[in-house]
Amino acid sequence: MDLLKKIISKADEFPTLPTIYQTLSDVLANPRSTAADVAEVISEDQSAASKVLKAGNSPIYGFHGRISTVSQAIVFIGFEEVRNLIIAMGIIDIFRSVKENSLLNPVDIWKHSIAVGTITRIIGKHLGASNLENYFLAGILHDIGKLLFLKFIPDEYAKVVNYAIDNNVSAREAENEILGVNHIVAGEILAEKWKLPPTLKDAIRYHTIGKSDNANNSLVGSVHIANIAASLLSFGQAGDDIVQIPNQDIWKLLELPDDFWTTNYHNILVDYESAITIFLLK
Amino acid sequence: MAKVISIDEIQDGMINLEPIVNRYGQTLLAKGVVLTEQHAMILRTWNIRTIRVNSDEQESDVELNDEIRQLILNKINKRLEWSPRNPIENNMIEMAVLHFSNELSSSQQE
Repeated sequence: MDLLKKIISKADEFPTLPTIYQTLSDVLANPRSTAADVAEVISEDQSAASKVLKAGNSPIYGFHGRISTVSQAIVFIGFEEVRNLIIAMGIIDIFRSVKENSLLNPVDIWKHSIAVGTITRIIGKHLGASNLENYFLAGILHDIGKLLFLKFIPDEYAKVVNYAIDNNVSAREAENEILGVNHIVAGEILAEKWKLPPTLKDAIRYHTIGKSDNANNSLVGSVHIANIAASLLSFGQAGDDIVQIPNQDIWKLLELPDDFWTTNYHNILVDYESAITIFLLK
Repeated sequence: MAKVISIDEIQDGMINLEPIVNRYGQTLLAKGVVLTEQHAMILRTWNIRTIRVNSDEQESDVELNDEIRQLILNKINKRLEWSPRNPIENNMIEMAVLHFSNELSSSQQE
């Protein structure tokens, strides 16, 4: 538990979310705000604005080049979705500087997380989820604890990855064994600091078991399944080399058709590749 | 050989290899239609994002024969701590087989 204490004691050094996120949240919380107000905030941040346009025109949203201004992006893909895209970009940028070790490159964790985000979103879309905008972000955030380890205890974390691969166990088991604490606990600490909404906290907390004790079951279940699908397809790398067993209850909960995967494979591939281009290339 | 492309990549003269239906089951594009930009527009309207077309690339020898399929399955199973228990888990594995065989054939073409 010493390591956990070390990490908590570094809480003040934790990266904060980009200021644009807070400004946007404030504007969105004001019922009088218009699309133009939101567009103005985003347009002040060149990099955010250009990524919103790229994302809006990507196959993920399917507007195919018809979005040419930030205001249009807001109208077409929605306030919440635009805000979540900006949070995702901000978080990816925060951890961009994390140094890689010989076994695990943060870019690979991001590739894995982006894959989980895109697959979670495709499942959410199939389910007709009303809070679809949270599906992508939940996938992006589920392994955030691992990035925290990479940032603060890179050498110890290299041992974890070594142990996981040598012993063919999950990253979580290896973390418990080597560190005495796992990425879920670390992720929750960060979620708390960032004051993330309960849906996203649940995705971080329950993605390995796929259950939650409240109404966010479908989203958490989707992240659980997407996480398994992303490892199965070897999209990115998340610190271990095993594919976890799906929680049977989640299949019952989500009621996906039997041919869901082969039907959606090409959408998964196209969305994943375009999301990688949008989020990982500067 | 066939390849799946985004509808943004449709070029005049490509051939559609699978009938495409809209959400009401009406056929939008029959199999064998020679594609044009206008077809892309129709598909976009129906939010259909990918299409299977013929490809000029040389016919690959990696048609998924039993031997290669088994090799890919072995590779997947090594990373799996479990065996599929229901049709959707089987389908998930099937997707992975499809994915790795596509990767294999594109790496052989390079």
